[in-house]
Amino acid sequence: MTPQTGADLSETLRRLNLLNAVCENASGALFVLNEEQHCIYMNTAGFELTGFSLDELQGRPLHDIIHHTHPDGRHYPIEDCPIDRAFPQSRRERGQDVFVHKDGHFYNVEYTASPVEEGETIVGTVLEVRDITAEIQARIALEDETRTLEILNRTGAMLAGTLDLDEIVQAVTDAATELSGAQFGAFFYNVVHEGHALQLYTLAGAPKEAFSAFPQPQHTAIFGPTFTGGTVIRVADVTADPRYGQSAPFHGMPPGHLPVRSYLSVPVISRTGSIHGALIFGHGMPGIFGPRVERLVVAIAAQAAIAIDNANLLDAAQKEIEERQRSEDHQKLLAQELNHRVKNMLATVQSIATQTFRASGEQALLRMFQGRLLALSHSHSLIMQENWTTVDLKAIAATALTPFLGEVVNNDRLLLDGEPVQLSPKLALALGMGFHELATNAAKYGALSCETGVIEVRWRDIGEGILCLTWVEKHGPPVCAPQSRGFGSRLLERGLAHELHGTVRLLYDAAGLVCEIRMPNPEDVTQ
Amino acid sequence: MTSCLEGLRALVVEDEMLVCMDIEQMLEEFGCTVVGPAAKVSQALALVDAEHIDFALLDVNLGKERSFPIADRLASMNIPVLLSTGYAHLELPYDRLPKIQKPFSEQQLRDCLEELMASSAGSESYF
Repeated sequence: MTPQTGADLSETLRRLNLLNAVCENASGALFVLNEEQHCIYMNTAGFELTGFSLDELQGRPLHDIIHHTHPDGRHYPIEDCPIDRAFPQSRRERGQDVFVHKDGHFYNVEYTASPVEEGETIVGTVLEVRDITAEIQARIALEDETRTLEILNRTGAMLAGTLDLDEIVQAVTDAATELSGAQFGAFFYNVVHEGHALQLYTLAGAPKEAFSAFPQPQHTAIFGPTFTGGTVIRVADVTADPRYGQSAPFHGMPPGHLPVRSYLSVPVISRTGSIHGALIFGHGMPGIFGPRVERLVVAIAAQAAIAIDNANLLDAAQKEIEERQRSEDHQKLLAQELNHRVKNMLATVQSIATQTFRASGEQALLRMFQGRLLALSHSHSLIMQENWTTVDLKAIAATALTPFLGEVVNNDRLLLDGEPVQLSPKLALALGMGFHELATNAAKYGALSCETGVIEVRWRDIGEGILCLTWVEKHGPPVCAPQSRGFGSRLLERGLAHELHGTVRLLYDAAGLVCEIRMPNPEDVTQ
Repeated sequence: MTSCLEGLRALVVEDEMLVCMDIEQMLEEFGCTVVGPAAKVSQALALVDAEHIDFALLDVNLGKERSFPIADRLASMNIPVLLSTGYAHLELPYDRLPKIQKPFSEQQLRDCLEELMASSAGSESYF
């Protein structure tokens, strides 16, 4: 070693001062440990980081002062410490760990431990430490936020995709329980009947048996505001809340209830303002639910309300459809039975007449009677086919005329012309009988009594809601008015007019019979 | 007037007494011999087993019973069946069978039966 000059010495001092300025002004904490792991140097940042002065770090390995305990409370022996290994194994160690502050709180650090060598010998360790607690907290917060968004997104997609009430409520309860950090969560239905009981609908975080032994919860001071008033209740420690324990019989939670200290209940309110129920969350530790959790659960409850509204609407619509279907089926069954009975009765009446007339030998009268009865029956068949709703005027006329003309479609001797008019069963039966009488007369004396005759039936609305129907016979034998009025003309001029609330005129024109019927048009909606 | 119905044996199934009398007289007018009449399914099936039958006129509704088992049996024997009914529609496959709406005139019955016998020669079963 060369003896030092004064200039050398001042140069060395200047370097030491510089080094000291670098170390003391560094933002990272710096420690120098000797071969026994005792701290022999610490900079200002080190003091700020650990809370200890250099004096307080003397006499023991640094590990035993600032790194002795895991965050979960377990002892951290120096043998397990990777920082310690920088010395015996002579290599640089980097890593992250948790240190203990002088005041007892834990903080996250990133460290580098480098060996200090003198020639071939390692005589100590330089330890650089940086506090990364804020970074880690930011990362955790970001991860939390990401997870929250994922759950909200998943729940939203699920709620939008289903109309099944059970699925909706389960998804909502699961998501809200996960987000809130609750030990268990439940959805209670607001059952409105005597006593206003709350119906447990679904649970997350606890088996249903955990609650099944208890009676239905009531609208107590703690539940009530949410279920009847629609307000959110968030309590850090429910057992210390003045609203808790006021209601008989239990004055608090029933014996055997899962322990609850933190309590949060959020109403699920429909768009009509009624309260479907509430999401209720519990935790055995106090102070678990913060305002952020409350905001999240309120958001989920709003989504749930829409989904439940939709599911209820669908349910109501389906019930309505089923009910209507049942009622229609029943009506069809009744109509069938009615048809059967009407027809059987008509058949029996016909048989009675046949037996009665046969004995008297009045064959002509029998045929006339049978004709009228069958006309009634055929009109009836048409009404039955339409299920007792309405029957088309043209169809009624065609049915009445078929026995006289055979096929009525494309028949040169018959014209049926008019707009579609739907007749009630009562009007249809009356008009059917009327057409039958007209056709019977035509067959006896008029257009159907010879080969050349034709019948033209036309109907139209002539204004003021009046339907005018004309039956005109042409090219038949000359017509003269009858001496006396028979059943046919009486039925038309009196009976039919009465039944139709209209007028019926028979004109015995020499060129052919004309019948003019005026009646309120059933198609006229203003009537 | 000669008719293809002349001399045929007709099974009549009908539970209304008066209607039954009427039908018997109509069929006799056509020159048919009436087998029965039967008012119940069991009676009718016994007649099907015991008697020679050329065609059958079956009322669909026999009080508590329907005459469909008789129609099934006759179909299996290729015996033509005309259903008389007050119903607008019948359940399948019976709705495909020839039908006559009650009440019916003698002429309507004659037309239906003549058509039934004419078409039954080469007809297929409704199954």
